[in-house]
Amino acid sequence: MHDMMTSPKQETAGDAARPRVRVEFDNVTKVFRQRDQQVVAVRDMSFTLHDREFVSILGPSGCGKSTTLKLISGLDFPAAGSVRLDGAPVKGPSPKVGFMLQKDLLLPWRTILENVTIGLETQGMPRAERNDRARSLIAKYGLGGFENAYPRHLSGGMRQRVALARTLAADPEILLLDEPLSALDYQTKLKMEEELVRILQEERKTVLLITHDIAEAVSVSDRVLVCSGRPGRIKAEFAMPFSKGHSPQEARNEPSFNEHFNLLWRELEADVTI
Amino acid sequence: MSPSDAGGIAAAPRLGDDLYVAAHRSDRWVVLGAQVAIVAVAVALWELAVVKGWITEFFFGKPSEVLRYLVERTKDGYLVTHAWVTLYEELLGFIAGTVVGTAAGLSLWWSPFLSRVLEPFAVVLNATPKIVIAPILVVWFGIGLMSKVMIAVLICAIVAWLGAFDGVRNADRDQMDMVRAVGGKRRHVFWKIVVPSSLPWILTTMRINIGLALIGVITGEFLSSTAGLGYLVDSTAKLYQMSHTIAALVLIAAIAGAQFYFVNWLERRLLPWAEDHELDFIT
Repeated sequence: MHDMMTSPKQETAGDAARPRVRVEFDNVTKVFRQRDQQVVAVRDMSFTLHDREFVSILGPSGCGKSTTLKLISGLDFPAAGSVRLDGAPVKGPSPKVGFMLQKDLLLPWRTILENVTIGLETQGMPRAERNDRARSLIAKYGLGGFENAYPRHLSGGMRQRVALARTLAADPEILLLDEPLSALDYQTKLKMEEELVRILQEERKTVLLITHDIAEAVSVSDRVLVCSGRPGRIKAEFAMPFSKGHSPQEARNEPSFNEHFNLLWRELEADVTI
Repeated sequence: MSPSDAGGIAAAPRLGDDLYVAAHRSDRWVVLGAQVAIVAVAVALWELAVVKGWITEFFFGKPSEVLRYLVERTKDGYLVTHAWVTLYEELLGFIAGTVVGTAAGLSLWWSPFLSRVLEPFAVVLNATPKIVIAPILVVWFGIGLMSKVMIAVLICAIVAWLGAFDGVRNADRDQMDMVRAVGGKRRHVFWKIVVPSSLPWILTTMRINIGLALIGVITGEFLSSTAGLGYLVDSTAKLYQMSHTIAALVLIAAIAGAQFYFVNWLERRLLPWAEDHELDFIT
């Protein structure tokens, strides 16, 4: 973590050994006003996200994880410090960045097809073209035949897959995932996790996953950043060995999985109050 | 997961489909039969009571006379003229008021400052019985058509404004963020999130307004007028022509009922995603 902070810019595009930096948090502080009180959601947070890296931020609730995501997606801005995307400060939403939340945010008045095309509509893509692209994504994620159904007809897992199709339709290079699977039942969650990781690896995306599920963080990430409770900041960083060449399920069966799990658990434990 | 999932959902309804629908259809006929029977029995008892002299026609009217009046005076166009005046006033007021009020309420989304300023006015207006403006409008616009139309316009505009305003305030912040995140500008957020998510509120206000507009124009006709169903009710009741008063009431009820079902139909057309009108096999 220390070397990241002292050399924030890695202008080495094309260098296979050290991929270029895509997202950079530089001493970011974010303050909210709640009634008449100030709440510091994030204090002096610094981290970087390299190209095609899968990084998880793991922490207790209220550690500013969702704030982090809003800052990167350009929906909110830091009170101090800077958030940079490909070297330039974030000034608003960028087509390079897509996000997926715990809430699928499907619009109940739109069909599945129309939900997937919403981003392409705002970008002014012609109807025929955007419908074609959405149809192929819908088919690819196993939802063929549901194009004209409304979201209420779909199960939670199917709805999250529509949300994924909507997010990927705009073809973002960087994906921000805020506990996207935590509302699903456990079996569905595991299945979706396998699918999601496979898709993101195939599409070669840069991913920042926000989660409080240690096993998930261990099994899918290249690196895990452990976040402290409010005000949130990164207090430790760990490299994880399982993301390359293992599916999340396979990772869980690796002999050293528990060791890594316990490492993160001990780091988190200090912040857990029951 | 996906193929079996999809197959299960697509195939499952087929099996129970016919039986379930058939059971509900026969239910519907039984209910309709009961409804017709209630009216028939009530009218028959009423007629019998008048014929037997248990109640007087002078005070209570007589169904056969109501029917005779309805048929004859519809044929000669007298009732059609009066019904048309009321309907014309009401629909004109309803449409103009709803359009203006809804547009005003929705456009408040663009100005959080103005919505905060106007909020207490909305609350007070909502709590006040809107019909109290009727006498003032009669003074302003005279005893003709215009005063009734304006009563309906004002009532509908206030209710539609409040409803649309409510819809705007209840639009989902995360959905708006989602549209911004996929590249939407403010106008996209407005047209793709704010307006459609306000539609249920707008339709609810239409349902309320269609009734309020009718109350508004009839009250206006009571106050001062020379035509309309409200005029007919008021003038015949003052002459103790109860059967004629009741005939006018029947027409008013028919108009109100038809409009209610029209708004229901409209709601199904506009909100296919929110309605439970289709058989929902998938839980």
